[in-house]
Amino acid sequence: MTQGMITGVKRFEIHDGPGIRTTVFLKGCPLRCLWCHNPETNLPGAQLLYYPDRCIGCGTCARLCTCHKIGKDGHTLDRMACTGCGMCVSACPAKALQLRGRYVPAEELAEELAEDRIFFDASGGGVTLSGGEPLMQPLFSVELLKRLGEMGIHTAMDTSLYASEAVIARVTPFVRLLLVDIKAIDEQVHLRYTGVSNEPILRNIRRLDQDNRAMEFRVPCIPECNMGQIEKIAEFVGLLKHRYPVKLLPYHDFGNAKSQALGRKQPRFKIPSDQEMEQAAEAFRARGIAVKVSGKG
Amino acid sequence: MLNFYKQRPFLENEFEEAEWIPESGLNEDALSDGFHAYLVENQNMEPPLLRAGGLRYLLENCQISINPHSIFCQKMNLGVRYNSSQSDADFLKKQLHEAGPDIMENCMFYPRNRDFQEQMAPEQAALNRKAMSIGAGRACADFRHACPDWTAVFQLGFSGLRSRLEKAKNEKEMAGILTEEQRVFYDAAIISYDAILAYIDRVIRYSEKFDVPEYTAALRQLRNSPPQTTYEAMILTILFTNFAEIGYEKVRTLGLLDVMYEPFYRRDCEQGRCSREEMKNMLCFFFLYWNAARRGAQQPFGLGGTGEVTYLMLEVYEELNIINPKLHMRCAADIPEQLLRRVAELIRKGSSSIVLINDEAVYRGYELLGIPRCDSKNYLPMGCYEPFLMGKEEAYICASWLNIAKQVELTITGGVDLLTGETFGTPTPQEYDTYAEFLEGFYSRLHEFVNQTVDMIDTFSAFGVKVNPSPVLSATMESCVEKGVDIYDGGMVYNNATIKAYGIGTATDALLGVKKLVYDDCLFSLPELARVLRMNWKGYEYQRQLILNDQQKYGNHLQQPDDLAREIYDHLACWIIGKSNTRGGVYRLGADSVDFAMTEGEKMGASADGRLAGEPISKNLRPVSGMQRRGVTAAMESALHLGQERFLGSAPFDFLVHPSAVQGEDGLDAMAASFRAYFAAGGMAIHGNVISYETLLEARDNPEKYSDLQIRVCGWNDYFVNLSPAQQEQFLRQAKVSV
Repeated sequence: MTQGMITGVKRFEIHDGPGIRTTVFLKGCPLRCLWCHNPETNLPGAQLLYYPDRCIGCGTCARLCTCHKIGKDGHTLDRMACTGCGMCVSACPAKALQLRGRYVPAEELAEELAEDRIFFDASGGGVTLSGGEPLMQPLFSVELLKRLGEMGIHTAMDTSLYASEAVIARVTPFVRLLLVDIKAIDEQVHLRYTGVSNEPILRNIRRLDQDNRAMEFRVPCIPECNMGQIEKIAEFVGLLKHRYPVKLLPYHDFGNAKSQALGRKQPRFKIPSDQEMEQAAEAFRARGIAVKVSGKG
Repeated sequence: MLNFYKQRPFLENEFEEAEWIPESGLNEDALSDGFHAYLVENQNMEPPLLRAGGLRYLLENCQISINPHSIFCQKMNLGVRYNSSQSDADFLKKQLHEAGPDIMENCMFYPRNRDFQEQMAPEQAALNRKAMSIGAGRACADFRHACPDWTAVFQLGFSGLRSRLEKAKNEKEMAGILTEEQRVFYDAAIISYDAILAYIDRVIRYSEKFDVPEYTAALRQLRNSPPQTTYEAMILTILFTNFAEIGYEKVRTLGLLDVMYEPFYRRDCEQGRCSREEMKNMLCFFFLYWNAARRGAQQPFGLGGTGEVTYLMLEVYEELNIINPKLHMRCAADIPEQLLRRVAELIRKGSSSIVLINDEAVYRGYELLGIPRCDSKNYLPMGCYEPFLMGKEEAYICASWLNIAKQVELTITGGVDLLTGETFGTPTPQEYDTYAEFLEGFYSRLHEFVNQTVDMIDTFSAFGVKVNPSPVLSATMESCVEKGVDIYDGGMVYNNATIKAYGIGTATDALLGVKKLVYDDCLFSLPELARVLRMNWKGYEYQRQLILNDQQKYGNHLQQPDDLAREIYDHLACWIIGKSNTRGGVYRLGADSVDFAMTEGEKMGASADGRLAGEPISKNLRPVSGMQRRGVTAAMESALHLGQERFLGSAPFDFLVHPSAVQGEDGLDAMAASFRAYFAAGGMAIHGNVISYETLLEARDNPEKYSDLQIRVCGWNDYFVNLSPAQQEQFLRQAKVSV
């Protein structure tokens, strides 16, 4: 029985592939994008979130674990000492403490993901593996994808493709549609904003292109970081063997609340204007690439 | 014909600003005095004749207004409020109060249910009063949801309906089988239709003096024959509703308008009388007429076709952005994708008054009552979203509401109301050894109240024809005319009644709350829990949070709560569906709550799911507010698990999503697909609010900027800014978790 670590499941999702989808978020990511909107999926292990506005100050957590203190200023948390054991979480009556990351067997998860089948069938939807980076848990992903495939459910994977050749070769055959992020073409830019080189990413894209895999590219658009790369990204996509659709994702700051709950400070960026997005889309359109801006038409 | 856009300023307030022609009749005061005198003079008359005579008096003497800016010119002056918008006939109510109780007993013009209940069945009335006061439920004979057989109205017209009555009466008379009751029935109906025809003559006389030749010509046609053109058909819809609503009944659906108008429109086009643009113009006038006429209560109409008129109506509806008339959309299994998407688009844009109703589920519901598809295929949604068989069934669609969650409260306390301390029903034990026994205790209380509700409805509806004979409507029903029996006396083919049991989300969560707190985790004994609930969880915030955040909540597609919710309805279905009533029909079950989720919640103490005293309970088939944790599809699947074919009395699912979840073309596809999937799996009805928490917050704080923001309240919709602060709060809470 293969187990994997996930943060959660979201149903009735329309932005993660065709039709109505159920998306599962897998833990762990090799990238550290500054604008990350799912920061709670970063680490491979469980992460503790704390929402001060929910805390009723009952002190149950402090009685169970030395990381928590209830003092004059209310609740304080020593994150350095936290092992992510989750004792405080199951005791917190107000759900002010939440643990993101739970182990689930692939078999059980596949059943849960298949629950919305009637909606998949009516809309041509299915299940999307997202994260984090699903390729960080290749065996689990394969097991999950296999089971979903056996149930006749369409599968997609939202991935950075930052993985070894062996992992790519093992996992991707079980995915019907790859939703691949491209953040930058210049290696230096990629390094600066995501912490890693994009060399393996671009190589994997080319390889999958050669293998005739179904892909869709997604480009997060953060004016201060990578919008200078749009032309180059368009050029790169345009030079591939096949024509793949592209979706542009304007930056949003929904991740900041979660970062705060994780006790981190995440920088805030400018939300790109409609005009900027339109301009970015034009770069793709000019090369005959089908492009969509997320949230529009 | 007039151009709608030029005339619109003269139409928005045409009821408030109507100019009555002085010489056309008595002014309001004189009319009121005369009517009063009529009631006093005739108080011993047979009720149907009294009502018919009253109608005649009003139609002969009321003042008329002709609005040359409208293509539906005529209005009648029956009193200020009636004409300004309300059809509650406050004028008539005033008459009754002045006339005193002796007249009230005999008069059916405003037979306020409670008054006649108190007089005719004091025992049941006392129980009803008590049930209402603690929020347990309510029962009545439902005269407020009426509908003519529109097919007969359109086929025969006023004069045709009158001749059919006369023919039936004569046939019986010749055969020597006409009973006294039948004679009264026929005479009352004939008097009514004579009065209607005379009134039309009066309107023709006055309209001739204005420059409205088309309207006058149409009236002349309608005076003597059924409608020939779309324009005449529209006038007939309006006139008939006007006449049928003089009194207590409300016509709660204008019929499947697109299906009824389509043949007229086609013929008009073929004969060069009408074009698409002209039709659109007329529809604008028509819809705005209802919006202007019905500020307070909504006038529903249905769509059931797939033709040009269907799309045109949707187009006009979208353009006018009005909350009235509200739209019932019949959805066949093979409804075209284009149409479903169009409706989804309207819902997403904020036309929240649209309800979609699943044909298949309704057919199966009727099959459970032994009514075959050949009869049920012409069903019509009425009122909020309740299906009934036009021309065949009197379903008393709102005869009673039963609060399931309240019975959980009463089981915990052994029969004592938490807020008032009064006892209700047979006292039950204060303690149970096991959860299974507790659950049995709950079912026995619920069963008792179902039986009491049935008794109340049977008793109250037995007086139907005495307090509310309905000659105008009865005359449209083939079976009533054939039998010579009024609608409310068992004249219909199917004389059914409906019991609605609501609050399933709160009831399920509260039962599981008891299970966890008392029997699984042993945090309280049952009497202790009762004490904690009486104190409104004060001092027990830890335990309250524990239960609020427990996973096992209805509406999340989880086995334990969903199975329990289904089991509750299994019991109710056993007790209610198909049970005979005293009018020769059977009972139907429904599961919607209208706004009782709010108002009856106020009368309830704290509940074992962590809800505080006075907070709303769960609405329709929805989970408790804030408890939809696994998304809208999971909530839909929980609702589907209930076995909805049993909810013929209607059971809408409130499809509540954040606009970001259904953006773009993909979003429309997803909405349409989820409606289709829900219906294919047996769902009964859907209505939608696509709205964000942020927008609602803005609207609450800046009402002037959001005066046109619509929201689906329950069976009806309203502008958000018109809701009470408590109702607004409720929507904010729901929207917050819908992201």
